[in-house]
Parts: sequence; C-alpha cells; structure tokens
Amino acid sequence: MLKYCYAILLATTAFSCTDHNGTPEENPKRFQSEMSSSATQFYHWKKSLVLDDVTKDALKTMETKRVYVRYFDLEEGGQFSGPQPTYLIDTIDQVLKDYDIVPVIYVKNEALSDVYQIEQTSKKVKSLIDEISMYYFGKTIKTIQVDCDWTKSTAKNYFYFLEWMNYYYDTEVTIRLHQIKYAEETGVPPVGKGTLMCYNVGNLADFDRNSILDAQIVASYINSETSYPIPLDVALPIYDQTVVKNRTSEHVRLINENCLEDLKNHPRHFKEVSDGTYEVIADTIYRTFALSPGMQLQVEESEISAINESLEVIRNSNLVINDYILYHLDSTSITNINLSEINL
Amino acid sequence: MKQKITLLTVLALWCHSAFGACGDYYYGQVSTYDVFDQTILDVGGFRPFLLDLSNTYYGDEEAGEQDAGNLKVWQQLLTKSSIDVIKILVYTDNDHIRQKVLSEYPTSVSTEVSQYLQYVHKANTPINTNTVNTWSYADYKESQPYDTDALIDIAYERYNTVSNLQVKRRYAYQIVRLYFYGKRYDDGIAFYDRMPSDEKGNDELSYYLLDFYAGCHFRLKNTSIAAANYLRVWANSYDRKIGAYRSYHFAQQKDVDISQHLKTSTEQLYPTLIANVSGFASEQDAIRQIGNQSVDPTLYNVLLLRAVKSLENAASESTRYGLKEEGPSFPIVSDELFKRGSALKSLVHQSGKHLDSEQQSLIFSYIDYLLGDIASANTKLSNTTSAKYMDSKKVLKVLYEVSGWDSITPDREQTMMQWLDTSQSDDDPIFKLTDIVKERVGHLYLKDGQLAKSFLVHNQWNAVNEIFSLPLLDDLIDLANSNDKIGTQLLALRQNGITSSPNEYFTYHKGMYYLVNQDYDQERELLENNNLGNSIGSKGRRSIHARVFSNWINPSYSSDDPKAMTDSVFLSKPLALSDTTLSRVELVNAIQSLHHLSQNGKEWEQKLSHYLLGNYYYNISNQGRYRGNLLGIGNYRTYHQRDRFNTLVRSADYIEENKLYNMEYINANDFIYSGEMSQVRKHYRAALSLSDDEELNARITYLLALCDQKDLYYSQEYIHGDKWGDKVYDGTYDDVAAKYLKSLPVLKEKFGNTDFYQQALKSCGFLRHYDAM
Repeated sequence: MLKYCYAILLATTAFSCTDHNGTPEENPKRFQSEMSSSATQFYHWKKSLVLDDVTKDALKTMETKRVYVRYFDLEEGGQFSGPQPTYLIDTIDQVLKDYDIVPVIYVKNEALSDVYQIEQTSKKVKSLIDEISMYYFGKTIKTIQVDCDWTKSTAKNYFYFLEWMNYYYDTEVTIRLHQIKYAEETGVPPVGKGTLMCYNVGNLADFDRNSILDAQIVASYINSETSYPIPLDVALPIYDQTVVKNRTSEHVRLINENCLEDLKNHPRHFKEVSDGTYEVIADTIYRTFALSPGMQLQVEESEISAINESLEVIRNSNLVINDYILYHLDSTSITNINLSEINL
Repeated sequence: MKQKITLLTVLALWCHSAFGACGDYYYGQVSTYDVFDQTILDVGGFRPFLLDLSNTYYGDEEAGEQDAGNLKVWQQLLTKSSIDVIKILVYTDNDHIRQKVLSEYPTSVSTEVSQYLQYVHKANTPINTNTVNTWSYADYKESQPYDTDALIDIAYERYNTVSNLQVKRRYAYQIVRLYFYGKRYDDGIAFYDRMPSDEKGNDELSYYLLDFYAGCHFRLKNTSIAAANYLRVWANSYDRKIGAYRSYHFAQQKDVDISQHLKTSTEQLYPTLIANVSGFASEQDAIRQIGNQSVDPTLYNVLLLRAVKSLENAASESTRYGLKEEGPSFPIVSDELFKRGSALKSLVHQSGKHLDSEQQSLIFSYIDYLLGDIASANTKLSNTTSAKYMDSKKVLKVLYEVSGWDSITPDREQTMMQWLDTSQSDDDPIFKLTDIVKERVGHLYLKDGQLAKSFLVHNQWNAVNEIFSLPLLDDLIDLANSNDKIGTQLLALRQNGITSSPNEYFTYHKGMYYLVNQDYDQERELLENNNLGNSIGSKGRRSIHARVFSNWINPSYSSDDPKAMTDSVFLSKPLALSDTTLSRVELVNAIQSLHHLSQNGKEWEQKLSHYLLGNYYYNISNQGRYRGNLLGIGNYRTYHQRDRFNTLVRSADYIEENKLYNMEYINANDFIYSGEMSQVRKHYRAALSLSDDEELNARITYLLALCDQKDLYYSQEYIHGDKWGDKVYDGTYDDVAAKYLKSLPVLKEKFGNTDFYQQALKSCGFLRHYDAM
C-alpha cells in the first residue's frame, strides 16, 4: 500500500490550472466552471476541529479560502421529543476565523418525517447554527450547506425544510450520484447550488472494490448526456479508512483511519488474507470494536487514479461544475496523497 | 385517605360574533379508599408495583434511581464498610474521602476500586455523548460531553488487567453501557456474548449488565430477545425494576412472541406476572399460576397485596355524579365482591404458607371487613399483637368501630372532633380514615336533623355562597347563636380565614337568598344592620357595579370592564346613581326605588324605571354579564350541581326534601339563573308603551331582540350546552330563528333609519347578517 510523502507544498500550481478541454467558445460550460473556480476547499466532518501545524501550513500554501465545517447532525428525537441535534461539534480552531466557513448540517430523513414540525425545526436549526457561529467566529454566517441522502419518498419534506433554510441562508446542498441519475424521480432540491459527493460511492461490505471511489461506479451514474438543473461543486476523497465486517457481512463498521501498520504489527490477532485485507484470528478489542475470529478488516485508500478517472467521467457530462472540495481536512488525509496529481 | 380523581370536566363554551353565551360543566368523581397498609409484607424491589391509584410506581419513581442492590454487591467486596459509607464512597468525587474509606482494605483492592470509581465518575457525566436534549449550544458546551470510544478503550484495557473479579465485572458493565450510549449495539452484544459466565454472574450487577445488553438488542430491533431479557431484569433485579418494566413494555408494543427465549418454567411465568402488576390481568390468577413454583416470595407478596388492594378498590364507590344520596361509599358489598373476596381468602390459605400468622390475620380480617362481616374482622384483628403491626391494627380497629355506628352521641361527636384534628397531621395513620369518619358522622348528623353540623363536617363557611337553602342558613345562624360546644368547634374549624362572626356571615347570606328570590323587603331587613351588607369587601366581592342598570349593544363576554355597558341612563334621574359600585343594601334600595317609581312616578319616571329594571333583570339573567357578580362569584363559575342522571339539581331542594346521605359535594353553584325573559320583557314593553323617543324605542326593541335570542337558545329546538351532544344554535337565520326572533323585523322596518340602528349595525354582527338578507 502506498503512502505518500508530504508533497502538498509542491502542489500549488496543480490546483490552479490543469486540463481545460478546449476554448470557451468550444465548451462554454467548462469556461464558466473555470472562471468561477477558486482555490482548493475542504470538508471537515469530525467533532473536534483542531488543526496541527502541518494542516495550517497546507491551508496557507494551497491558498484555501473556504472550509465546509460540519456543525451537527439532525436526527429523530429518540428518547426526546421531536428532531434533535446530535454529534455537535466540540471545538473549532480559531485559525479558521481567517477563512470563509460554510457550516454543514447532516440531516437524517427520519428527522423530517413529521411535516408539521419542519417549520419549527428549521427555526431551531437556524438558531443553533447561528449560536455556534457566534461562539467561534463572533458573527453569523450567510451560506450553509445541508447534507441529506433524500429519496423519492422523503423529498417532499426535505425540500420543504430546504425552503425554510433558504429563507434564512444562502443554502447549498449535497447531491449523491443516484440523485443525479434519477433526478426525475428524486426531484431537484429548491436551492441555487449543490455539491456532488464523489466518495463513499461503493458497497463497504464488498471487499473486491474500493468503496471510497471507483470510476466505474461513477460512470454507472453519470454519462455524457447527464445534466442537472443546478450548478455543482465536486467533493473528492483524500482520506483512507479501514472497514470492519462480520463473518456474514451483515454488519459493517468503519474506522476512519488507515490501520495497516497496526494490522501488520499484531499477527497474534490479525492475519493478512489478501492485499490490504486482514482476518481476525483471536478475540480482541481494537479501536473500541469487539472483534471475533472470522471477522475481516480491509484498509481502503483514496487513489489518484480513481479520482482522476472519475473527474474525467464528470467532465465529459453536461453537468455544470464550479469548484472542488476535498474530503477530509486533517493532516493525515492531506499527507496521504500527492495532491498535485489530481487533475483539478 | 380517600382519593378523588376527577374524571370528567366538560366545558361547553360557545360564542358567536353577535350572540354570546356561556355554558356550564359537570363533573364526576371516582372515590377509592386507601386504608390497607401494603407495607405489612416484604416486597423487596417490587415496591414500585404495589397498587396505587394516585402515584405511578407507588411514588418511588420520584425518589430517584434505586441503588440498594448495587450497594449490597459493593459490600460483598468492601466487607468492612457499612452501606451508608459505601454509598458515600460510590457517589463522592472527593479523592480524600475515597482514599480514607479504602484505606481499610488491602492495596490490591483499594487501588483497583479507587481507580474504577474515578473512572465511573467521569463516565457517568453526562449519559450520552452525542445526543443532547437541547437546542442550545451553550447548554451543550456546559454539559462537557465525553468521548465514549475513548472511555471504552480505558475500560477495556482495565477489564483485561484488573485482578479483582467484581471490579473486572464492573468494567464489563461500563463497556456494554458505553457501547449502548455510543449507539454501537452490535459491539455491545458481541462483548456480552463473549463474556464467561462467571463474569456475568447472577447478582444485581449481572442484571445491570443484562439491562444494557437487552437495550442493545432492542435498538437493533431484536425485539423478542430484548423483551425476554428485560423481563429477567424486572423479575430479578432490585434496582432496575422500573426501568426494565418500562423497557419491556416498549419492546412488547408489537406483541412479539418471547416464549422461545424464556428458558425455565419460572421464566415462562414472567409474562403473566408482569401483566398482573401492570393491572392488565387478575392478580389472583397469577397467584394461582405460581402454584408451587419457586418464584421470589417478594413477587408473591406484591401480587397478594395488589389483590387485597384491588378488592378494596372494588369495595369503594364507583364513579358518581353530584349530590350524595346514598351511602356509605365504603365498603359496598356486592355479590361479585363477595365471590372475589372469598376466592382470595381461599387462595391465601392454599398458597400463602410463607406468611406468618399475624400477617394472615391482618389480611383475613380486612377481607372480612370488605365483605361486610365486621364481627369476624374484629375477632381476627385481635389475633395481631406484634408491635410492628400496631399502626395497621390501630387503623383497622377505628375503621371497624366507626363503620358500626348507627347514631350520633356526644361521645362520638367528641371522638370525631379528635379525628378531625388528627387530620392536620399526615404522620398519624388515623389520617387515612378522616374521610370515612366524616362521611359517617355527617350522615348521622343529617339523620338526626342537625343540618348545620352535617354541613360543617364537610364544608367551609364559604360553601354557602353557592347554596341557597333557607333551612340550612337558619340552622347555621341558630348554631352560631347557641352554646353548643361541638358546634362552636366545628364553626371554628371551618371558618377558613373569614373574619366576620358566624352570625353576621350567615345572616348576610340569608339576605342574599332573599335578593336572589326578589324578596327585597326581607333582604333589606336582614342586611340593613349587617356590616357585610353595607360594605363592598376586598376586591369588591360584595359589590355590584351600578352599571347593572345599564345595557350594551354588542353583548361580548370578553371584557369584565363595566364600561363595556355603554348606556348611561342610570346616571340620570330618576335613579341618578354614580358610576360606581354598590353595596348590597344600596342595590336593594335602588331596585325598590325603581319598582316604586315604575308604579307611582310621573310618566317619564315610570318609563325610565321600567327601562332600568328591564336592564337589571336582563343583566342578572343567565346571559347577563352580572349573573355571577350578583352572587359575589365570577361569571365563569356558573356550573351547577347535577344528579347521577346528569340533570340539573339544586342542593337546596335536596336538603329540603331530605334526600341527601350527607352534605359532601354540595358546594356547587345552586343558583340556577333565570332563563325566563317574561319579567325583562314586561318592563321593556312597559317602557316602550310610555315612550315616543324613537332612539330609545329603537334601543329597547333591540334589547327585546336579545330576549328573543335567549329564548331561541333555550328553545326546544336548541338546548344550550346541557349535555355533550346537545344541539346548539349556530347563528344561522333560518326558519327556527325566524320563529323566535320576532323583534328583529320590527327593529329593521320601524327603526332602520335611527342613529341607534346604524350604531348597532356596526357593533352587532348578527344584526348585519339579518339586515343584509
């Protein structure tokens, strides 16, 4: 498994211009995309946003201006009444005061199942977003992003929620591949801008394919005829992860790290069965998971080839693409991969 | 103590843009008596499941989390410490105290316990890292959430390294618990399933673990496994019974079959037993099913106590409405009750072998009492001599004695007063019997013709505000003027902050009786020298505003402001009142003066007197805005007493007809306002006949239309809010409305050009509606 060195500082120019595929006259959409393109943007999705020096330096070097920061999730209330915020962000590094921050909230469909609560929920969401922004940045923020894997059956309530969020903010949304392909069925969210999520595209339990990104999977959703009514940014992966599954593949869990070294170094508990895949051979608790013999772990890495091939698929479509957002902002991810090789 | 649960509060309130009206409500009560002491048997952790109609979980839920079982497990390890000391140790976050307590133990124990307790203190605050019941970020930050995964790592490391088995098991519990709160249910289940059986154990700690294990299954929708394990926790744990009971019912909402997961014949009984303590099945059936199976005796005891309490409830009066005509309300022995009681006695004989003879005597004695055999109840009660049952015996002895009284005597009166005084203290178990004693004595007084004393057994003085009974008022005045010692004590006991003398107070109310009955001479005679009749009292309670002689165009009920009554004729001659409040004496003087002028005054005086009297009688009618004010009560407290058939009744009639069992529940408003408009019409028409003032006549015609409207409300076609389902007038001008609203066409045709009509059109939506037709 390849481990890239800290090549990011050399990658500055790679982010500003690459393959243009023709003049503006030949390809007006492409031109539009590049005109609006800015420096590299990032997602941050963890509870604690504390940047180490490596990451801070990288942000400066890459002239990053905008960071998408997950503030909280919105879930069904469970033991409490009505939708509730969960996984609230614990801390945000004050360095980010100098950046353009876009708060992101992840919304579970179940949280919006009661249409009569949506208006009230949207007010609460707005209040909480503003409170967090004030807490860390001393100001409210105009633009937010809502992440939700909505479907045909949940679209109505979700779009109603978005209408309310649009009332409060310039609201962007995430769009998944299936929502592009089946836009007629799932509907188009009532917002001005989306971000196409080009990661987590595969099946975690399928250890024969990389679930982070696989251009063939992207191509099964997007072709040269594909279009979408709203302009899009594209979110791309730069992270690694380790997938844990039980014997029957019924239960799959994620460790958000590349555990390869650990797995190699604990032969009493793990045995390599194929490249990057290990089987548990003795009971153990590892990274808080209770592992039993027969369970398997697979290390998955974001791969330059998969990213570039996927970008090729997207660029050959009729989608209107503006900017690119890299997932995830942390020193491990940004040193994982030689970013200069990504054809942004 | 009698427990009263108001079942029905039915408010019929209907308003229309033009014509407003208020209804009334009736109420019913379930009365049960909580006499039997359920603490005579040991029920262990099942105490929350004793039968209690007033409190959920026998009031134990409010007492906070149960921890006795857990503390006992700690004591198995920390054998030199008392439970009290262990409790301090477990809950303190003070390291000095912790070390002090643990210094008595070997280092191997003290180090691991201390380390564990420090860990637990951190892991317990707050319960869930990711789900917070708040939309406030400040609150969230305040709550200092922790990272469950990091805590699991620590717990797991120590689980693998500590030497003490109990401490190891406690870390295992923390691991499963944190998996649950971290929503990692699979991992929690996997960890538990892999634990060796000696680590799981079968003590209280094992049920703490099992509770969270069940929780993990429940969240993964393995509902039957979850339910079965919750059942085990409920049946065997001491501390976690309430939580497991609730969780079991959540898991069982889909009625899943859990029998395959219940391993032993005793476990197979659990669903039946939990159903019984839920009140969904007969406790006696459950006791029968237990038979000879070895269930925890505390579970048997709780079912038995519930069965006795259930019999007690069945012997209490069921739901009833209104005035108390029959009694006593406890015990009421029916054939069905007799069968149930006899069956229960037989069951206890067969299966209650573990009960001692005194426990059996108490239970059998009380069942005999409930079945009406006081002699047998007394005999069995005498077999109980142990000090620990003395409180129970004392209560039952008094209960049996009072129930046997058939007449009131000076000694019994004296005894009753002692009990009424005892009722000031909840600590004395006799307090439980106060309502029973009051019911009995109140009845015996009434049977003896002593109305005032019977009244005072149950009611405060001010209950007469709403009872218009001359015999009762006379008897109260007589009692106030007598030297009856018990009567004096009763009057003092029921004075409730009223500063007037009883004679003055009840005489005033007798005057009110005559006011309501329009016997103004009698009223004035009684009130002329009565301080209450000549003053207005605090907050004007004994006053009425002079605008009771005024009228309004828009009969809105929304304002209490007397200035809503816009007509100001009452300020001029012949009445020439001030725009202020009147005492009752001033009011009666004004009414009598108007009546005199309406007969003997000059023509203009007669005209205006009739007009003002019409206003007055309209305003005190059941649609007038002074209907409650006349009595010193609010307009909205105009509910009436109803009998069991939900028919409007007057306490006064029941008193005079000697139909009451006692005078409990008689303090509902007895004054049934006049719905009859003939008196109002008589005065308005007389005024109309004497007037050639078009504007005044237009107004009077409008007021007559309001009388018509009231007739429409209370017509045969529309019964206004008497009972649910009654058809009420919805404001439509249809054939029925036309039949009653005869003044409206006159108003429109004859007075359509007056200023008043134009003004009324602006204010009265119904008139606009009619005018536009």
